Amino acid sequence: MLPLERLRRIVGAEHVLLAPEEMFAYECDALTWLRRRPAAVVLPGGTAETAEVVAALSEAALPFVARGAGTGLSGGALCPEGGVVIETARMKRLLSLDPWNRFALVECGTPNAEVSRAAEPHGLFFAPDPSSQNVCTIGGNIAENAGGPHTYKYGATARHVLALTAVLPDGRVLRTGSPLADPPGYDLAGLLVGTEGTCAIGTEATLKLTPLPRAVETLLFAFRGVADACSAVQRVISSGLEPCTMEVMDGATIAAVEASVNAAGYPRDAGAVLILEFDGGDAAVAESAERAERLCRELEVLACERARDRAHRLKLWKGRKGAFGAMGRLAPDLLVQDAVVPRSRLPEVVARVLEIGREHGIRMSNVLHAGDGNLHPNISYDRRDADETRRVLAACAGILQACVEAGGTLSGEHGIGLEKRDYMSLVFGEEDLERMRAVRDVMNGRSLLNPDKVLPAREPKTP
Amino acid sequence: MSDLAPRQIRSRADLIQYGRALDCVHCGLCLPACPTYDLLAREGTGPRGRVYLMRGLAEGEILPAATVLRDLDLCLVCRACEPVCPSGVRFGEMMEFCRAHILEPARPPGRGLRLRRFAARNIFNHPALLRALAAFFLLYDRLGLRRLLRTYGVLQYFSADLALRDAFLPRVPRWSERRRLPHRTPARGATRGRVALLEGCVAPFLLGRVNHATARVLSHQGFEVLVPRKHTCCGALSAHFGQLAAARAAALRTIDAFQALGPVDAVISNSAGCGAMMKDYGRLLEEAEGASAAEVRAAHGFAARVRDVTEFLVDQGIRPPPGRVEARVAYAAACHLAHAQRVTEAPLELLRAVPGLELVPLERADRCCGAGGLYNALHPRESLALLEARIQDLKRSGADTLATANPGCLLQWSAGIEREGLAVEVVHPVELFDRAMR
Amino acid sequence: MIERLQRLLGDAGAWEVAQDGEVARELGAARALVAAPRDQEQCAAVLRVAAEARCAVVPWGGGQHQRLGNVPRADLVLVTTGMAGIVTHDAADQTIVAQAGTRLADLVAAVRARGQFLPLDPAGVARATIGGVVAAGVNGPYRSGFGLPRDFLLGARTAHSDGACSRSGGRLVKNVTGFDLHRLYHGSLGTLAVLCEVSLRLLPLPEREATLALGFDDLERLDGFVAAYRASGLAAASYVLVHGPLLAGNGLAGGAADLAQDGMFVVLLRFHGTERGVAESLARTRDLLSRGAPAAACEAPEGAQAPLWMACREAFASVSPDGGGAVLRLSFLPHAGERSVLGGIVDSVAALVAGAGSRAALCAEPGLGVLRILLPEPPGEELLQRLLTFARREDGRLLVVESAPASWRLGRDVFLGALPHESLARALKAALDPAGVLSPGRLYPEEAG
Repeated sequence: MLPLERLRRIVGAEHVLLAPEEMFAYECDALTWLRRRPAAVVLPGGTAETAEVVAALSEAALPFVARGAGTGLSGGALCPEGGVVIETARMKRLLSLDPWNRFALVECGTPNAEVSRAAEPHGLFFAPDPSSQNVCTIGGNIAENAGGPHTYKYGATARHVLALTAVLPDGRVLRTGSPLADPPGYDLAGLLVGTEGTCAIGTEATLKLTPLPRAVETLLFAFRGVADACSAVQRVISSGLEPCTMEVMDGATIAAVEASVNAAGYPRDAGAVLILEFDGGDAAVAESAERAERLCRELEVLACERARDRAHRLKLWKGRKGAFGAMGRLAPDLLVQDAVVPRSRLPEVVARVLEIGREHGIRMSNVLHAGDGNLHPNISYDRRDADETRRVLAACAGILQACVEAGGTLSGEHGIGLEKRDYMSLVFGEEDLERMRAVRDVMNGRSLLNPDKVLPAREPKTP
Repeated sequence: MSDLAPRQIRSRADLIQYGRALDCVHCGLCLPACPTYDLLAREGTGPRGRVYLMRGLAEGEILPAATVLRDLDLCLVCRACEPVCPSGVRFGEMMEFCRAHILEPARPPGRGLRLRRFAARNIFNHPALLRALAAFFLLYDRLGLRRLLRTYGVLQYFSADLALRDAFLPRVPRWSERRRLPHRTPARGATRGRVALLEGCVAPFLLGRVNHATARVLSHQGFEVLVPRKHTCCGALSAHFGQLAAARAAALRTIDAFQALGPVDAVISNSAGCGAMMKDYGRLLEEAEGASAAEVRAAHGFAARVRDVTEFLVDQGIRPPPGRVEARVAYAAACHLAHAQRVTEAPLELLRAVPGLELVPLERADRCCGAGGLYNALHPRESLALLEARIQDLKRSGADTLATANPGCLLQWSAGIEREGLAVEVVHPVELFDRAMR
Repeated sequence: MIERLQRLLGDAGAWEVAQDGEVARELGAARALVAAPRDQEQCAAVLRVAAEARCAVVPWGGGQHQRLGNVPRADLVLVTTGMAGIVTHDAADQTIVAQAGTRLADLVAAVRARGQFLPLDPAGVARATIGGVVAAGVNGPYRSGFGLPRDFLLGARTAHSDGACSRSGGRLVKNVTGFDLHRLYHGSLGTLAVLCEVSLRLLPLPEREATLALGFDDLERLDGFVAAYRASGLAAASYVLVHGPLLAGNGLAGGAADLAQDGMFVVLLRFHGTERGVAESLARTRDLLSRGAPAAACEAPEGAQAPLWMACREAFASVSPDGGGAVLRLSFLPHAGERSVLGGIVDSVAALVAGAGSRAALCAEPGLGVLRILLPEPPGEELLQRLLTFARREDGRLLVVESAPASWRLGRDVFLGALPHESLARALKAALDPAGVLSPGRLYPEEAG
C-alpha cells in the first residue's frame, strides 16, 4: 500500500503524482522501446525529504527508483512494477562554490551544464560533458559514471566527484568523501559512482572543478569514410600528441545534422568527419594543432578546417552535441547504442557494425568518441512497427557480440540499466557478478531500490 | 502504414499534428528552455512530456483527464523549446492544435467556459467592447476603487487568485494616449519606401504611445506609413486559445484590410505576438479544412511581407538619430519575437544605434516573463512566480529601463515592477529610438 | 598449515618467516608463514586454505607501504611477487595489463621503452609492486599533476577469501559495464581482496621535461607565490614544497647550494609537454615571481632532474628506510578565499614541533593541501595531542599518522578517530572477504569474538 498521506506530508500534496495519465509521461526515458508505468511519482525538495520519502517507501516495502532528467539511454531509471519514481527535478540548488579550492557543492538534480555555467566566471569548469549536458543531472551523471567527448583527456565522472551525500535504501543518509586530499577509509563515493542507482540515491555532490584552458584549437577533417577517420585518430595518438577530444561522425550523421537547427557546416559529401580539439597553453595548443593538421593532411583528407573563433568552434560542436536529436528527423524513435572496443580495433569493428545494420535492414548512423574507442551506432526506427523493432533489437545484440569479440565491452558511458542486463554474461562470469551483487546487497539488501537493473539475477543453484 | 494509424485520427489536420508528435525522439534537450518545467518540475509541465501526452491522446493510450488538461493548459506557448529542438519539433503549432481539438472540447461546460469562448472569439474583433472594457478599468483605477480594494485586501478575502489577477490588470492610460494613428503618415527626408503598420486590437487602448512612436520612427527613417482604416485584430489571441476558426476569420479580414491599402514594401508589426501570427498565416489557412486555394495563396503572399519593426529597420539600414538617450537598458526578448520569429539581434542593434544608451546584460534574457497571451489572467500564480524570478534578474542587471517588443510583455513587466516598487521604466525599443530622434 | 601450503605451491612456495626479518619487523609479528602463489588461481587457493584455518592473511608486495594503517593481525603473509610480469602491453591502445607483483620500476621502464608514460612515482618505487601501490592508493610527486593510481586503473583481477577469483572493469579506457569494484579495492590496504592483476591507462611520453626550483625563506612570499600560481591556472606535472635540507647533496647547479639551507622552503615545479609548451609554462611561471618573489630560483639542468625528483620522492616517504621515523599527514583546504594558507600552517606546525622539543622536516603538495611532517622518531603523546588540537581547531583539516614503526602503532589508531562509516565498511568487508581473514584490524579494529 502506498503511504500516500505520509508522502504528501513530507513533500507537499502537489509533489505527489498519482493519476494514471500523469504516470504515462514517466513511462520511458530516452530509450523509448522500454516502457513501464510507475504507480506514483514523488518530487522531494532536498536530502532530508528524500530520506523521509525513502524511509516511508522502505517501511511500506514498495520498490522505488531515482530519476533525474530522464535522458538515460539504457532504461536505468525505469520504475519497477508497482513502484514509485523519486524524481530529483526540484533538487537543483547550487549550494556553494569555492573557486580557489576548486570545488562546487550542488544538489543532484542540478543539470550538468549549470555547474560549468556557475564556475565559468571563475575560470573553471566541470569536465564531464555528456551530449545532453544542458539537461542531464549531476545525479544521473554520477549514477552512470557519465562521460562525453572530453572524457578522453579529463576522465569520466568518477574522477570529478570528491564527496557525495546519498540516501541509502533504508532511508539513512550517507555522507562520504571529502574535498580534502586522501580521506581515510574505503572510497565509498568512488564505489557508488557508476552503480546506476542500484545502491543509493545521490542527493548532494561535491564536484571537482578544473581550470578552463587558456587556449583551444578545434579542427575539422573530412574523410571518405569512417575507417579513414579512425586511422587518422590512431596516427595522431601514436605521434604522441594529446588532443582533449577526438570525435568522428559518419555520413548519415552529417546529413541529419546538416538538416537540423544545429547545422554546423560539415561537408555534406564527406563519408566521415573528425573533430579534433586541443586545449591548454597557447604555444602548446598552437604547436599541437599544426602538427595534427600536417599528420592528417598526409592521409587522404577531403577537407580540413580550423575553427576561426569561439563562435565558429561552438557551431562545430553544436552539430556534434545535437547529433542524436537530429536523428529525430529520420524516424519517430531513436536508439542510441553504446559500446567500446580497443581503439586500434575501431576501423574493423565499425565496418562489422555497418554490415550488421545492413543484414538486419535497419537505418543506422554512427557517432564515435574515437579516442576512447567508444561507438554510438544510432538506429532510427518506429517502435509501433513490431517487426522493425525486432530487427533493431537483433542488430543491437549482434553489435554488442561483435564488440565483445573484438576485446570490447557493453557500455562506455550509457550504463547497463535494463537494456543490457541480460548481456552481462558476455563479459562477466558468475563469480564476477556475485561480488558485485554482494556489494549491492550490503546497501540494498531488500532490493527495493531499482531492483532489476545492471546485474542479472543469480543463476539458480544446481544441487 | 495503415495498421500503424492510431485510433483518434479523423482528419487531415489530425494526421499532420500526429506526425509532428512523432518527430520527438524523447531526448529531453528542450527541458532547460521551458519556464514551466523549471518552475513545476513535473514531466507533464515540460515540452517533452507535453508532446508525449499529446501523442498518448492521439494514440488513445490516455484520456484527456483533468491532470493532463491542467499540464497542457499550463504551457505558456512561449515556444522557447523550438529553437533548441534538434529534431525540429514544431511545438507551438502542436499546442495550438491541441488546444483547439483536445483541450477546448474537453473543458467542463459552464458559465466560465462560455465567457472564455465568447471572449476569445469576439472581444479583440470588436472595438466597442474593448472601449467599454477600457473605460471600466480606467474608472476602477481612477476612482480609487482598486486602491481601496488593495488596501483592505478585499479581493484577497474572496480569493487569493482574484487578488493576483488584480495585480496583473493593466493601467489604462489617459484618453489622449489612446488616439488612434492617422491613416497616412508621410515620410520625412529622402523617401525610402512605403509600409503598412498594424495597430493591433488592444494596443491602441493600452499602448497607443508605442504605436505613435513606431509611426514616427518609420516616418523619420524615410518611410510613408499607412494604417488600415478599420480596426483589425490579427487573430493571434484567438489562435492562442485554440479558437482556430475565429483566428482564420481574423486572418482573412486582416489580409483584406491591408490589401485595401494598395502595394506596400512591408507589413510592419511592433507586437511580437501579432507579427508571429501574421508570418504564419500561410500555414494557418493551409491546415484549415475548406480554405480556398486563392485564400491560401493570398495568405502566403501576405505572410512573406510581414516584418517586425526592429527587423525591418535593421534590414533597411538605420539612419543615425541626432539625439541622445541617457539610460541603462536591459533588453528582454519577447518569446514570439525570439523563439517564434527567431528575431534576436535586430532589437539589440536598434538599441545599440541609440547614442548614449548603455545596454546592460540581463540574465536569461530570452526567458518568458509569464505574460503568455492571457496566461497571467488564467494562471495568475504560475505567472507571478515566473515574473518574480525575472524581476530578480532585472534587479541584478542594474538597469533603469527595460525594453521589450511585445504589448503583453510590456504590461507584464510593468505590473511586476510596480509590485516590487522598482524605479524602472518599461518601454518598447522603438520608443527609445524615437526619443533619440527629437 | 605449511604442509598444506607447500602441497599447493611447491616446497619453495611457502616458508616460515625469519624472526628478525623485515616481515616480522613491519608487522610486529613474531611468528608467521609466508606463501608465494604464482597466479590468481593459486592465490585464491591459498586464501581458501587460510580461511579454513582462520589464519589472518596480509598481502605483501614490495613491503614499501606496510606502515600505512593500523597493524593487522598476521598469521600468513601472502607475497605477490611470484605473480609478476606484464600480461599485455597494447601500445596502440595505450593500455597495459600486468600481474600485481610486477615491480613498479620494471613496469615504468617497460612502458617508457615504447614511448609511453605511467605517471606513478611513489616512495620506494624500486621495490614497490604495482599491486601494492594500487592497494595502498599512493603516488609520489606526480600526484599533484596526475592524481592517484585509481585515475589510471581500468580494471583488476582479484582473489577472495572464499577461494573465488573475480574480475571487474577491463582494459578499455572507457567502460561503465558493471560495478567498478577496483575503485573500492584501491586504497583498501589489502582488507577486501588480494589484487592479482591490474590494467592501467598510459600516457604518451612527454617530449620535454623541465624542473624549476624556487627557494623561499619568507613564508608570506611563499603564500604569495602559491596564490599567484593557483590563479594562473598553470598545470604542472609535479608541484611540491620541500624543506631545504631534504635536498642536500642532490646536485642543483648554480645558486642551488642556497636551496638546501635550513630555513629554506623549496618549491619544485616540473613541466611536461612539447618543446614550445614547456617553454611557455616556464616563462609564465617566471612571470608570477613578481607577486611572490623567491630568494633563489633556478632551472634544474638536464642531468640533475632525475636525482632531484628521486630525493623529493623519498622525502615524501610513507616509509622511513631506516625504520625508526614517523610521518604525519595533515590535509587541509589550501586556500581561504584567494589567500594561500600553506605558509601559516607550515609556520604553526613548525612552532608546535619545536615547542615539543622535537625536530621535523616538512614537505607539502601546495595544490592539493597536503603537509607531511617527517619526524626522526615517532611523536610523543604531547606533540601528537597538540597537532591534533591544531588540526581540529578548524573545519576542513584532517590529521593522520601515515607511517611509524609497528611497535609504536600497535594498540593505536593511526587514523586518529577519522575513519568514517564503520558499520557500512564492516558490512562491505564481510561481503568481499566473507571469511574475515584479510588484514584484520588494518583499518577498523577487529571485533571481539
